[in-house]
Amino acid sequence: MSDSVLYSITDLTKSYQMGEVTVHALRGVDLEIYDGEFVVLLGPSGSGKSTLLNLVGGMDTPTSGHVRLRGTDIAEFGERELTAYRREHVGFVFQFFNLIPTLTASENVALAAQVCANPLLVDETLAMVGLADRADHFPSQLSGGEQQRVAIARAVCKNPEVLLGDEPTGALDYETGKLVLEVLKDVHDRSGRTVVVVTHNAAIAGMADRVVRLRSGAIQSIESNPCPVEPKDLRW
Amino acid sequence: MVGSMLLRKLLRDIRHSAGQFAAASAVVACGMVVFISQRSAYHSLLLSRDTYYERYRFADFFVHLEKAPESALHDVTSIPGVLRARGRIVRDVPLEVEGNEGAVVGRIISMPDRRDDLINDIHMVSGSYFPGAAATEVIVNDRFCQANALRIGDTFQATINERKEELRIVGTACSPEYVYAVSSPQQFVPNDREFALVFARESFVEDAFNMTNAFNDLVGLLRPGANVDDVLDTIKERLDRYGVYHKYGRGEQLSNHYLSEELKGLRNSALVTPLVFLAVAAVVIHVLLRRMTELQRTQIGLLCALGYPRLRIVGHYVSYAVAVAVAGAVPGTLLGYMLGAKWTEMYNLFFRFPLLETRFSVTTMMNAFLLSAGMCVVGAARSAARILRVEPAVAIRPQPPSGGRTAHEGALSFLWDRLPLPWRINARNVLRARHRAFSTVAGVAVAVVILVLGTAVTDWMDYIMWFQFELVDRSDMHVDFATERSRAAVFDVASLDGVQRAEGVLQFGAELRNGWRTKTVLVLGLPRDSRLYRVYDTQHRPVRMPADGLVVPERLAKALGLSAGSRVLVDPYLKDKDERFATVRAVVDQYVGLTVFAARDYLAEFLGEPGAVNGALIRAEPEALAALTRDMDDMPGVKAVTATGAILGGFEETVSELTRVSTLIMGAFAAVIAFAVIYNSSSVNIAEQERDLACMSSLGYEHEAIAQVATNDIMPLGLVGTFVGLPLGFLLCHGLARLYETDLYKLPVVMQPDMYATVVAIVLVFQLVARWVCRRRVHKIDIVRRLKTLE
Repeated sequence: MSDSVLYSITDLTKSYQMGEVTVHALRGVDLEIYDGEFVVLLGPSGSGKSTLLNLVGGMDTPTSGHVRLRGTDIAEFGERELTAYRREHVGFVFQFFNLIPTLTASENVALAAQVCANPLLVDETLAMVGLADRADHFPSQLSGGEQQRVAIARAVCKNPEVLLGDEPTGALDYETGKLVLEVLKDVHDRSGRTVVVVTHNAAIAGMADRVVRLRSGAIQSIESNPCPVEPKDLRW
Repeated sequence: MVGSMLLRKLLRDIRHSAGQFAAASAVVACGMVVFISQRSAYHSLLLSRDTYYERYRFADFFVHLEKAPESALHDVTSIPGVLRARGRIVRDVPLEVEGNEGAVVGRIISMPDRRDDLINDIHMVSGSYFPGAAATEVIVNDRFCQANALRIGDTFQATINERKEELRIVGTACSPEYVYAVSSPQQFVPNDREFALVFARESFVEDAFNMTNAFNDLVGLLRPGANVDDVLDTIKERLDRYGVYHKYGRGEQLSNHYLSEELKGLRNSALVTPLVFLAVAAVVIHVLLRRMTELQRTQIGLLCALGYPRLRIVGHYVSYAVAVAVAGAVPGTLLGYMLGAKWTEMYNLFFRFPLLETRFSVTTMMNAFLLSAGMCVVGAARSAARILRVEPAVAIRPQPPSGGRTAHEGALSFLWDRLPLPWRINARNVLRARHRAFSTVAGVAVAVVILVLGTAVTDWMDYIMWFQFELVDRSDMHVDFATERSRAAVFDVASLDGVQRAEGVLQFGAELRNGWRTKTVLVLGLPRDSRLYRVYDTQHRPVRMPADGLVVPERLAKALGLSAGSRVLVDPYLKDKDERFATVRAVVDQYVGLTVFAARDYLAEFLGEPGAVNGALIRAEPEALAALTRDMDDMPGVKAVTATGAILGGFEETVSELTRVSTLIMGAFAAVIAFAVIYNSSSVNIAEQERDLACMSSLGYEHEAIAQVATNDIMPLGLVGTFVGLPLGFLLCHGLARLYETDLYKLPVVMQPDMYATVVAIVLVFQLVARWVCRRRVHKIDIVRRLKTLE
């Protein structure tokens, strides 16, 4: 982990209309994310953690404020630039895997590889998540844990600068969830890429380099963790 | 209260699927428009015909003969099956009408001074029935008067028995005998400008044609249950010595035949066409509801868990289909009646009835609605029936991810490996949701079939005109002589100013018999190397007249079971000519009329009158035509002059205008179908793939690439539909042409390559528009929401 700043987020707000009510999902967030660190964004539902992740990932645009990636403000990006940004810089892992049911595991990974400039090899990434022998299976033939590992492989394969996980264990049972976290940690250790994971599960914070706690759209605390725990030792 | 909640849910489901709901309703509306408009036109035509025929006592049988004394009428009325008979004098004569340079033919029909209970009575439109004492008072059909701007009190000249008579119009009328006013089977559209019906006093006509106390035309009514053929055979026997030319029942009467064929066609098309549309609507609804019940699986499970009876839930989804039917029926009915009135108006151009109006029939409306609701419910049934199999406990859990197990790439792995990933998604989607792919293919195919039929109709008319007047009959005029003449008469005609070529012909009506099968035909004897009239075989190769024997049209050959080499009995409708056998030498193509050809000299020998002619074909300098018509009208021995080009008159424009309008309507219907089907199945595709598309977006795929994945399958499926539809349409044209083939005409099946190209291009445009609309939907997908939620 180096000390160079990857993302510099300043005074970030996001509000949207829900019927007649204006929801303030983020109320002026300031945060720096460093190169190569494992960050966990922790908070209850409605705390704004997923909104923050989506803004960092270029899936959404802020109401105000800045998200600078090495000095470039992606908050200023238009639709086309955001698409390019997602393509080249970000790897996403979702709670519900979001694999394409009509493509096999390796095809799902290839779908990501084909769209970006410097992808990793599909077979290698699948092997990295321990699914080399399941490459030709369709999502419906894989367990939930396996599907999530394919999703991780798909994100990693793009060779992105940052890996964003939105409740990646949320739809999985305890054992499988831990297994997926191990894979994430393994990928992080091996690639040295920055990983940001959103969760409401406080136990997961134990494996992070830094833990950012959010509540009601604002950062409550930021803690550094000098000795992160191995995922297999986490308990919840 | 419970019901109203489901009703609310229904209304909201409709709102959420508004586009697809509207698409399905539009298809239903098209079906209703066709059903209502054609049914109402049919009923209005049928009712008008029946009342007209009944009120004016339209005859059951018709006999044309040379000349019979009035006393012969008793021989007819004494036949058991005959109720009443009327003898009249009917003759075609040349007319001269101010302002009309063409060859005008007037059909003089004798009328009694008093018309009590008259068979084939006329309907007076204006003026009165011979009010004065003058012998030369006449009543003329109103369409002719309109076309020639003639009014009551106006006069025109007729050449009767080589004498010019000035006739004065005292009234206008129409006749049930000439609802479709064509003069002969060779004329297939009415020409009101050059064919007149002239109803004249019996006494005047008798004098003018030297037919005192005689008749040459017999019409009559049958007793209930009498067989028209038996009666006609007996009449022929009894009147044969007076020279029976032609005899036929009401069914073969020219005007009635055309009218009946139109009614038959209208009745069939009023049933078949809407069924096609409603079947498409059913498929659209099936696809739509299948998706809806899949998507609302958990809701269905919940309703079950809440204790709703299954059938009630089924009814809820079926009522969606009924709502589609209602939404389509309302505008469809309105438009249908409007178009029906338009149709009826169009029929007024061809058919002349005293009164022809569109009737609003509640029964028709109810039938239309029941038919469309029924078809929509059929469409909904399969999807809704799945609800009956749902186990609530299973249904309330989200559906397991659907598999890709149906991918059949195994055998084609070589090709498969080369297929770009987005296309693999499409291919597997098509294989997985085959019913939906099928609906797209079927819908596009139906649209293509409709377009093919629409363009074929235009082609039929063009083709018949081209074939008959460019290829076959190259003359400008036909001249009929009053009697058989020597060939010198042709030289007289040829020597007139402006005549470029004249060919003598010999023609007469005859009955052809092969065993028990008989047909009445026109026999036309041509010079063997005729340049003004050519016949063609079915491969469109010119056929030279054989030295002996007959050349028969294909339809006749089929009807009588003849082929080249067969012998057939010819019974000429000429006085004192006996029946004789002749050999069929060739079979030829013919679209209009039923004409048998032979070498003129052979035919003269056949009749025992070597060298005889009774008419001539003439080609003339265009600028000399009007003067020539006048000159020939005045020539002694000339019975009638017909200008070939004038057979169509101004009618060609009316006809092409009509076909253009109907082609346009067909095109619009095809567009609705193609669009509705593509839009519907693509909407379902996109809805189902929303998560995949959002996922691709999160991976950094451009909008363009994503929109392509969402709509890639439209064009290939549309292409398959097009190539299924083209041959289907062609076959259907063939089938329809066969179905509508009669003794009077047959419809050619001609599809020029450029027509195919046009159809393909039009369908391509439909697809592109549907694709464009679908692509816009892709842009509206909320990525974040789609990726955060479960289906």
